[in-house]
Amino acid sequence: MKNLRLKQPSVLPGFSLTLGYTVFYLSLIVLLPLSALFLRTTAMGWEAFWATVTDPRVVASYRLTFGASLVGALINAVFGFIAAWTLVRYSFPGKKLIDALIDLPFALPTAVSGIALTAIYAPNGWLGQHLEPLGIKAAFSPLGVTIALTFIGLPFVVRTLQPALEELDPAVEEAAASLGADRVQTFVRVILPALLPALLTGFALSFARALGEYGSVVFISGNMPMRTEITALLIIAKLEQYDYAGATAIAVVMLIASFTILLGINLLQWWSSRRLGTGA
Amino acid sequence: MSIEVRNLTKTFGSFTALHDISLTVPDGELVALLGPSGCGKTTLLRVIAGLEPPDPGSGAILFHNQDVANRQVGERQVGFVFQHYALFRHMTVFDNVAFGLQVKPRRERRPKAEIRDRVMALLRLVQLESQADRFPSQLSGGQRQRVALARALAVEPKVLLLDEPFGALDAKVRLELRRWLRRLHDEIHVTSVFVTHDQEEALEVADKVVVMNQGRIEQIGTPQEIYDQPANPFVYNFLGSVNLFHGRVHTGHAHFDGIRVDLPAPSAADDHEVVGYVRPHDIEVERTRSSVEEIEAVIVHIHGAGGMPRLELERLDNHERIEAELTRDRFRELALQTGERVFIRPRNLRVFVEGQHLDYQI
Repeated sequence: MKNLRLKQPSVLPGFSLTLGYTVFYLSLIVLLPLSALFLRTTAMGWEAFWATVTDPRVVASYRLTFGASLVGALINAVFGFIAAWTLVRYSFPGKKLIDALIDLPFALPTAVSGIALTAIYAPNGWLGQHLEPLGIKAAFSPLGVTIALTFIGLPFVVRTLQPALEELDPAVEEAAASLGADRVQTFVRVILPALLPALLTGFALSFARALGEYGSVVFISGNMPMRTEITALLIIAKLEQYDYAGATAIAVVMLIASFTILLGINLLQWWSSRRLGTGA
Repeated sequence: MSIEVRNLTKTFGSFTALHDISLTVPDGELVALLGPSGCGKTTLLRVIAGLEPPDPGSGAILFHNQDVANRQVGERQVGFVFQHYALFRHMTVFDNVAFGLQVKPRRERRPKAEIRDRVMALLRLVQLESQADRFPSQLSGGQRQRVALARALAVEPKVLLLDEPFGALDAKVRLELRRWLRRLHDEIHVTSVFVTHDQEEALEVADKVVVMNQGRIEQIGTPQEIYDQPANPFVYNFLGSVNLFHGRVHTGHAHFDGIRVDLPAPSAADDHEVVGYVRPHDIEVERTRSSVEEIEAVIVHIHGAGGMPRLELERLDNHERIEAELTRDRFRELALQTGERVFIRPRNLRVFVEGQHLDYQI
């Protein structure tokens, strides 16, 4: 297999150097701390580990964290798509301002977002007081957690979709129209499949960000055991009780689950972008 | 189906892209819209297709004597081929071609097997049968454009519109593909309009050529008419290389430094400036003077390669550059060298009265 050479001749030297640096850097910054995590966990023994990670309170937190993150990422996929579409396809006064606003959840300290969201959605807040009579409890409920996780994930979808949308040749839509497709058919059969890889990436990033979120959620969730506790909060709680092994045990479960899900999404994304190829 | 455009105007903001355009394309003809970039040819094609609306209240577009102004692009039954193919990248070649048949409303849609047969027949027509399961990114430029053509033909368009269809291809592929397009048109006879800025392409492929400049039509005619009787200096200039001779009118004749040309009618007053246009292959080159109507020149450069060897000459009297083309036999017979003095005489001098604006720019 002569074609499978690792090193490609190139005018720019430094393949070994950059690969070496990448591996070293990844080891130092990512892999080393993660292995420490696993090592810590092994200290506690299998039974204690299993008891910690299957504790009903912990299991409830998994369900909330993954569920709310998934819902948040899905909401972002839909509304982020609309926002990206509007920003790319139309020009209107204040466009730059809206474009800048999209990044705000990136920049804001998460605790600030948490306090701001709680102030609005609490039963006596601006929006919360109108939602309360309708029987909708926004803050201090799983809904509140979802709102916070949606808030922090929005920029990921918008920012990954924007370049893909800009690259989309308007002639493709015109071709579909000239072949007799209506707007819905053009969107579903032509535009959406072309943007799918970017949309999946944005969705995955938004989802991953939500899984690890702590700061903005703890204020709005109310942290009620079995109901509105997220996994990250339980880890902090265990740390505060000096139960380091317990904290790392839960962290390991989180880590493996997140990695599996993200790997799955990446494979899906790789599969769909492979079909698009390059050029055309 | 014939196409008729009447008094069409199209503006983008303060820029007028099309200026009162009127044009008729008879049923079954292949017509080229030819002009430099920015002359409005693509805009005209897009307005005909319905991809661009004409200015409100301006003119009319008729397909087979029916006004189509209020019909959307999808309802006009046009096949449109884009310069950069505009293929659906996530679909196979087969699905690309089948697209127009699959998006039809349910009651008009043909059964799956029938769609399959039709698509395969079209792929046979464009000689891409074996590529049906490939994706556009796996094809060459020429193959992609043939897929685009098959896709446009799938919906059985009454009119085929092609926007610089060969513009993005290599010279050799372009040549092959345009000849193939001509043969295809002779087979299927669908009324076709194609846009190009390549005069050779237009003259070779089209039944009729429409030369456009700055949003206006300069001349409409068969390739031969356009080439042999250009209506104005712009058309003459645009269709190929040209040599200019400056002269004056005197007693009904145009005089160019000793060369006298009869003017057909008393077209210009005495002393009016005129310009004579001559193609390089209409310059005769001699080693010795045989008449007074010859101009002495020196050879600056010889391009010996190609079917028509080309000489770059400099006139000795006013130092203007002249380009001449010789047949290979004549070139060999003269055995010219750079720096040699020769005598040249223009044939088929086409005279235009000076003062007419020459707007041609590159």
